[in-house]
Amino acid sequence: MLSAVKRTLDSFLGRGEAAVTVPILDGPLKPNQKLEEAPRLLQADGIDNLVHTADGIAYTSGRTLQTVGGTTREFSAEITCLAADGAVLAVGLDTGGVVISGGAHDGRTIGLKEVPCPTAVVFASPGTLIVASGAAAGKASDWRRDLMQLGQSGSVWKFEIASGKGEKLADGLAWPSGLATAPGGAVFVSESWRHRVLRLDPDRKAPVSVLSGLPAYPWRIAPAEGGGYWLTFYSVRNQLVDFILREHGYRRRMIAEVPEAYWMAPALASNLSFEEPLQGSRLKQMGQMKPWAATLSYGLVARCDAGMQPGFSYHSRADGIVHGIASVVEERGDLLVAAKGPGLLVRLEQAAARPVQGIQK
Amino acid sequence: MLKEDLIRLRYKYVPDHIVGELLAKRWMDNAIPFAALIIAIVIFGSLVPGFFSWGNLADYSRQFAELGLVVLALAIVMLSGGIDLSVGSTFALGVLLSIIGMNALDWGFGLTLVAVIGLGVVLGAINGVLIGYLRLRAFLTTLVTLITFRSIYDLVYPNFSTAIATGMPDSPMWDLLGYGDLFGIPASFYVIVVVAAAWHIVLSRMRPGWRLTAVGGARRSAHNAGINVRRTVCITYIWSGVLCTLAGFLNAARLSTAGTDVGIGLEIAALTAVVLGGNSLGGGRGSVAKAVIGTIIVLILTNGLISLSVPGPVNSLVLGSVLISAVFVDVRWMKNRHKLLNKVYVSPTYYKLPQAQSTKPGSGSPYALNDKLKDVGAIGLGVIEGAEDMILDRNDNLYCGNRHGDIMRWFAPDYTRHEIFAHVGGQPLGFAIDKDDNINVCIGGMGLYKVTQDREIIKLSDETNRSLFSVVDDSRLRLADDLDIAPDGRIFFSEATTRFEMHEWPVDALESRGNGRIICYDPKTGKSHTEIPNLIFPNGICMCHDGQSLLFAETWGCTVQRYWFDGPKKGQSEVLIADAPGYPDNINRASDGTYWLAFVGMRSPALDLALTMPGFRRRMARRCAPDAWMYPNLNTGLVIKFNEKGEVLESLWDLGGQKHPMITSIREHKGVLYLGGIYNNRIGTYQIPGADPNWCAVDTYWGAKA
Repeated sequence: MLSAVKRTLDSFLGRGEAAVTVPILDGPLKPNQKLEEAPRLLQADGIDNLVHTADGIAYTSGRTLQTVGGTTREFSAEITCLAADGAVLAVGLDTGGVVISGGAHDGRTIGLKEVPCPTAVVFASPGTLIVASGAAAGKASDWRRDLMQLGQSGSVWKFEIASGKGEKLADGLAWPSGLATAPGGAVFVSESWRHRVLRLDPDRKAPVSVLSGLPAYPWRIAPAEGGGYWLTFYSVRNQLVDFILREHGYRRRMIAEVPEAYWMAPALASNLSFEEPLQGSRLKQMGQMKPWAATLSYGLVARCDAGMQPGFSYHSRADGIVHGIASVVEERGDLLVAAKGPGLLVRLEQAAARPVQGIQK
Repeated sequence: MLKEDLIRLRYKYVPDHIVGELLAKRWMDNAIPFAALIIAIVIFGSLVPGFFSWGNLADYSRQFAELGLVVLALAIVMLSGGIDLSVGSTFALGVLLSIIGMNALDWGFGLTLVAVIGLGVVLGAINGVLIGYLRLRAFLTTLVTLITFRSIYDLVYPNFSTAIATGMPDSPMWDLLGYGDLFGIPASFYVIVVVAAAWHIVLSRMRPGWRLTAVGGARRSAHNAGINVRRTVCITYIWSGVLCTLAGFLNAARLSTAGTDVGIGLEIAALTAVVLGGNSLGGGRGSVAKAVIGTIIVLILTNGLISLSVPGPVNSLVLGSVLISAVFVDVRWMKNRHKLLNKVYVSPTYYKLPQAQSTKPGSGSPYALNDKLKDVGAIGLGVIEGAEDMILDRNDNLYCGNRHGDIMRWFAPDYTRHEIFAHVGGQPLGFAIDKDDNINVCIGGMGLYKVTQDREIIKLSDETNRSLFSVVDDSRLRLADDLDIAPDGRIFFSEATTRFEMHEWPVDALESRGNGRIICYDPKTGKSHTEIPNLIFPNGICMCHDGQSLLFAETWGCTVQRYWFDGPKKGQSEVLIADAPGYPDNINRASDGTYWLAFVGMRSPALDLALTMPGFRRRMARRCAPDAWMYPNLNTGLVIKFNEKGEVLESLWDLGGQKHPMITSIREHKGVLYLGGIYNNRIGTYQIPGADPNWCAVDTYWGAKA
């Protein structure tokens, strides 16, 4: 009773849960334009899933899996996530489940029922896969819809490839979309819509939040050679979007009545059409967009230490286009970055060689 | 849909925006003290027997005259940023001198009054010189003079105590002032009424009063503005002294005696009254009305408690607690009023836009996307900053405004050289050339002006008639936007919004209420009147060729309408374009008898939806930073050509908004279309295919010059 009164009062006065406070990019996440200035290697629509494979570095573009060397393979649906263990590939598809390609179980589909929405996959050992399902229904490519519908039906699974048997590691997650293994059998999971990274320990207690209150929506986690991880982000949080997530009347009508491309919601790329909503700070002044303007899409990748604490980061700001950083991979001290928004692959020189010191809590 | 109808009706009939306008009023400061006064009257009126009896009220009004003068004295000093603790002692000396003059020395009424006022000047001047000119701290100085003046009183009083007690002045005036009535009202009450009225006029209507307030509000700014701060401060203390001794004179007349304790603790009662009335402790904010309200509350409080037989110390305790709580409320109100105002000022209303025409290429819509403006030329790239509109004269020179408050002139034929034609001080918006080749211009924040070819700047109009039921004074022009001139010389111009300033005009889109109007200036009378009220950001204005009607655009309303100001259809209007996909801005004539229309931005479905949800927009304005507010998309501009039937004939797009993110105005001249934008750093030029290369818009208004 009392909490109901408090909630009503809060929602009227904009306090407590109804307060719209978005953390700012600061400290290790202080903005720069390094991603925007980085040399662009190639363009491929929806470039994603940079992974070291036996044939060299691979990336995906829609249904195709390509290597930088030039070989191409086509799958039956859009590839949502990818992991490689030597010659064995685990390929998540937008129609659900993970297809194994190569090795003893070539062609086998895993978790079609358990993982309708594969968002991330990683090999825990040569015979086991860990897979994140962003939601209990819907597609991985519908991530904006899941966010705006306040989705929290995601889960993380562990599969034996040989038997196809799955075991649920965690559920009730708000869009788990990145996975990385940690020493001791633990798994890091990025929980995007709650702006945090969790650690699942093998003794199966409740997930531990290791990095929370992020100013952006975390996405994939990639291991770094020098220890620690690279954490990429869908986009930064926007005060108006956070506000709309609390305004259920407008939120529902927007989902129902406004075409998805023109939603007031985070995006991998923005400023593509005049029908997108505009915010006050985005007004061009003297022909210029200000880099600090409120934005729907943003480019951000952060380098974290072994405890998942960020040390430094690379950005492309509101006035740039290298947005929607999906995936990164290290190559001889450089960092290759796939910006899914504009479909660009860029190279951050010597980024992987830079030592990291995560912020102390 | 029923729910939506309810929302529409609720926002149609409940004027939310009035809350913000009321809060913005200066007299809103009096609301809390006034409420406290009513409460005090109700409580003590019901507790104290005979509270409303004539005798009681008469007694109150005599006391009110005395305390009121002292409170006024203190209020004036505090308004100028100081404080005067010596009011009680000054009052006591005033009483003493009055009694000595009347009872002991037989000076008579007139001489005593002059002497008492002279004493006030001297005592006030001591404070004034020390604080004003020698820059001593007001608090300490008046604390010291409080003690010194009291000591003088204590030294002088014993020498005259016998004479005071035995003397019997024979002065009808003295008796009248003390306990006589005029038309049933105590004579002393007239004194306070006259003094208070005079001070009210000085403080609210006259320069000395404004200067005094300015000094209290911001000492350094007042100094920078050329006000003699030291003299102003000194004079407030002199007035304080005069008013206090005058109060003493009244007190002496009423009681005909002086005790040892006269005036003790008076400064606390006066301070309580001043602060309780809502006068700021920090200076710069206060009025006579506030002082009066505070005085009445304190009088009711102290007398009421005495009538209820509350012991003296408890009485003082109550007064002290009231002072503390008044100070608390004053501080909180000062701190939070602007926050509250900021939160509630933006008050959106329900507005449902009709389905927009498609802009898809190949849709067959006249608005279908193209890239015709891709290769436009540029004038003054990087030099022009924010030319909302521009105009070309018969000699092909181009005039435009900029955000620095200049009218620039760019010289034909290549427009690479320019000069500042006139510095007008505000951002020039719409232009029009009259039959004598004067440049008529609407200036944001200033009004309608005319600049002659001799560069003389003449104000034509900065006000219109005040509307009948407006809370704020809406007669002053806030955002005169675009204009055009009728054949008989009358100027019709739009005022986009009366609720927002020049720099925050896009915020008006959040409200989408009819905040704007079209005003007509008549050069024959030199007066302006509102021709069409309650328009949703009226913007561009263009005369039709019939000389009886004009076209105007409502930007946030997304309409273009034709309005007849003369002829058989006078007063009627007709909507020409209602389903535009963007926000129309300026309208100007085209060489083929049709009209050009610039779109400042384009509609977005997310905002169109929000316009039907005013509660959502209101909460957004309160909870989110202005930087994050959902705005109309003003980063993509469009130019169309339409005719008097409302048919759209052609559209010119700049996709991506690289060169002209926003187009606020267009002007055709000799085959070229010039493009202006209020946030742009250039003026664009577009060669119109097939346009008459000799066509000059000025000639279509006033005929070609021989």
